[in-house]
Amino acid sequence: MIKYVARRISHMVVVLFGVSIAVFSLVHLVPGDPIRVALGTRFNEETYQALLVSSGLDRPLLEQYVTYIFGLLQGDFGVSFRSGGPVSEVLFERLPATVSLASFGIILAIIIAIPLGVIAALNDGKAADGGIRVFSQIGVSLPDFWTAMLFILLLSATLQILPSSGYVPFGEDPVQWLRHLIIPGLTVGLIASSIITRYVRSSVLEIINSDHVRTAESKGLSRSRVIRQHVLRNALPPIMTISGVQFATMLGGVIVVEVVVAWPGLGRLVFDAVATRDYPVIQGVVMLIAVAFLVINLLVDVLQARLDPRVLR
Amino acid sequence: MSAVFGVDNLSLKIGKNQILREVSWNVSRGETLGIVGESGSGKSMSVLAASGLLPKFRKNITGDAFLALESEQQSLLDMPSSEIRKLRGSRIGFVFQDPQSSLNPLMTVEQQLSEMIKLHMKLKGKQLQERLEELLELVGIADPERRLKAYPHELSGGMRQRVMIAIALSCDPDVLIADEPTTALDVTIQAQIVELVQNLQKRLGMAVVWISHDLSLVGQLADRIVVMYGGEILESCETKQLFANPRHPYTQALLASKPTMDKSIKLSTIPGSPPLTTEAVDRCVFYDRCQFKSDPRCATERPPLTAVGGDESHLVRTFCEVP
Amino acid sequence: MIKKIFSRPTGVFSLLVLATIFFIAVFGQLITPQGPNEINVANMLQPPSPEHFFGTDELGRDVLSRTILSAQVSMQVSLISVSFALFFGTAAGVMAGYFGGWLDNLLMRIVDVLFAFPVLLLALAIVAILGPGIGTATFAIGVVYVPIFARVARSSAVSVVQEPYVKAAKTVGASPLRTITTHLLPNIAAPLIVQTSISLAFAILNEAALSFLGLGAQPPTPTWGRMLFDAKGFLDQAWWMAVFPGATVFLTVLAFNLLGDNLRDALDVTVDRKESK
Repeated sequence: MIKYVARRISHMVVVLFGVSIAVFSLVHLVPGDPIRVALGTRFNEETYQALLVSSGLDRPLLEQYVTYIFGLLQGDFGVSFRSGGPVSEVLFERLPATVSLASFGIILAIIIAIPLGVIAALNDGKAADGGIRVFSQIGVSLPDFWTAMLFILLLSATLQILPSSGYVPFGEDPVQWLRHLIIPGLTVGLIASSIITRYVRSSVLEIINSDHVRTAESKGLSRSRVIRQHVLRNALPPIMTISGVQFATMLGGVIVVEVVVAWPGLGRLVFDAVATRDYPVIQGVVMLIAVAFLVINLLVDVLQARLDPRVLR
Repeated sequence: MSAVFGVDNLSLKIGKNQILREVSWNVSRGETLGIVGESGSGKSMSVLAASGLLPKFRKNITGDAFLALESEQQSLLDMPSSEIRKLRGSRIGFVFQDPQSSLNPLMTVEQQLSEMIKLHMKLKGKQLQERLEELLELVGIADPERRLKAYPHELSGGMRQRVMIAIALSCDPDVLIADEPTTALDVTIQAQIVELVQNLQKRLGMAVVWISHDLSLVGQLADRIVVMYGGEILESCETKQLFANPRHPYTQALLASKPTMDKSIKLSTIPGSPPLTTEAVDRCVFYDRCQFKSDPRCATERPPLTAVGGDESHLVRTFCEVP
Repeated sequence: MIKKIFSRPTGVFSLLVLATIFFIAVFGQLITPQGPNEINVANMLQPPSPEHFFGTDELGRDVLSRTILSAQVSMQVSLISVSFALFFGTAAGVMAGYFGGWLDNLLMRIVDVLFAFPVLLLALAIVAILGPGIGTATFAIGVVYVPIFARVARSSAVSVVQEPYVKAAKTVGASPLRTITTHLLPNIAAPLIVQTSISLAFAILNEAALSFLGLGAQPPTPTWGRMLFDAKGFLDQAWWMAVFPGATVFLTVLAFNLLGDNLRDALDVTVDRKESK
């Protein structure tokens, strides 16, 4: 187990190295002088020089990269071109909103997807399976921001039972927090559930037709025990993997939904940063999401190794 | 000797395909019945259908299957599925072909072995532990305590099949179904498994149904043999009789395709391939590959199962008079 | 294969929708009832009516005309970007799978790095560097789908390289280029075709998302994403502004997805979808 985790971590470090180079290069790939581009009409020599020094863009490339990496290791994501303040502050200010949205979404998605996927697999080829496949196909094809707009049309504009946009921190008012969370949460949850449903269906279907399930049937175990112990238990590792990937994707993939409902998360942040060409903030969001993605994948792999002893071979 | 398990006039039709047609066989306590046939001959299907392991096709099955319980015969096909479940495992044990895929990869040997004992025998705690170790010793697995904690992928193929046999025997069944249990194993391991099952049968006195495509293997261990082809029984009799006096062209061809040590005799093969799907036809099911076809009825009529020379223990389904 | 797709209702549905979309993308200008940017403030925010089937927007522009003309940008961006990804991804994947060794390692690590970024975020970052516009949006969407094609091509190539006839071709000294074009490509075409269809679906979604964020084609060119962005401000007054363009995006994406599914069944290949979205 330890050997396996060590191998996975070393693989992750290699990928992280590549990711850091890619993200670091971002600001250097901008045609022209990035600070000048960012300042645009606000340009004045004093601000320019201040940013040049604080961002370190005047120093040699290698030195910049080394400084960048050591900064990252200490949680320093650089300085915003816009505000002049540290990027890390904004990142951690915006993180809770995105994490609560993604968590709500993934929990909803799993709650919907597991029963649907199992029902579809158990009724392979019948009407229930067909219906669930249509649901899943529709979900995969829905543009998320349009879905959010439809929910606003229905739940906010027409029925007037939920607010159409905005965010209230959980600590301030849990009820309002939830009311604001429902529309974006339903949107990302429904779409993710359609993807996970497919995986649950195909994993369960594959396992249900396997030899060891026939053995379980030959033991005279009850149908429900066969399903629980020999089918669902074995389908768990692949379902977990796809759920982990979906959660990681949501962290950085709900940009447009956040813009639609004015959700002050990382997506909204990166949208504003692109509009104002605040490259260090873009770099910060991209780096944070990539690290989160890799760490979640690592955790999922380790958990999978716990659930499936064959992984460690 | 009265039969403990068997099928009577069993047919199974899925769509247009006649998987089984009027299949009857039975097996008695202490006896080994061999069912021989190529893949697709229906040799495994009659057993699976009889023991309720084809729930999807329950409606497609006609005829009967029975199990003798305390001298009382129970019809398995009339039974609700919850009842037949109670008999599977406790009265009928199963060993399947590929021990690699037939064991749950995510459960330890102990979990898989104790499942059935807990369910059917209601053993717990120390009694359960003793039973588990006793079973592993019974099937010749050394160091049972360590093996119980192992996952299937940590065991060798032969060891896995021993575990499968231990599972099948864990509730002292009356019947052991061995569905090609040695096909996926090395030859030396094969011999060990065959010997193990034979010894266990002597000790425990159960009935064994051994399903295989390998006539010479079955010839070594079965008391009686049923030869199946295209979902039908073509010949059935005592093993000695089958080897001494095969009456069906197919049985003869099977025996002739067995390799010998004498290099001067060319190994013969049966031309053509077995029918993949047998649509109900009014002719001999072996007609296309038969080298005799010596009776005009071969092409127009389905031969009935008849006793050879009035001997009711030797049945054959052919019009051909073979040498 | 085509026959098999036509034998299923979902296959027929997807081909019909795609034929319609392609038709309006090519001949849009000829069939629109009104110019896309004809402003008529007196006529603004009109609900659907016989004159304006899809209603009018906040500037009195005809929503139907704009929806039709947006198909052009959407099709253009997604077809070009997916072709780009197909070409470079397949090239990288085939080389990795055929030559193996350090080249394989290097290319696959690069693919791993690219996979660490969510698709839309990566596209967004690329557009942020290069500046918004139809060209950069196309390029960005193309780049983010390269790794998917590289993976599909590589895994197919690796299994084909193991085949005896490919080994034989290598042994008798056939040039790599010849071996790849005559043996490898025909054999890995099926999964790539399926992946192309599915990627087109996601490319349309991403084009719409980038346009929604104002990073795709710039006004006055109409795009579905931009129309939806404008509609966002009028949800409680003019539902038609959001519903019609969105439904068109949805139907187009659905059609490509269904086509992908039917192609997969017809060609009998399995494709991993989890990394596409």
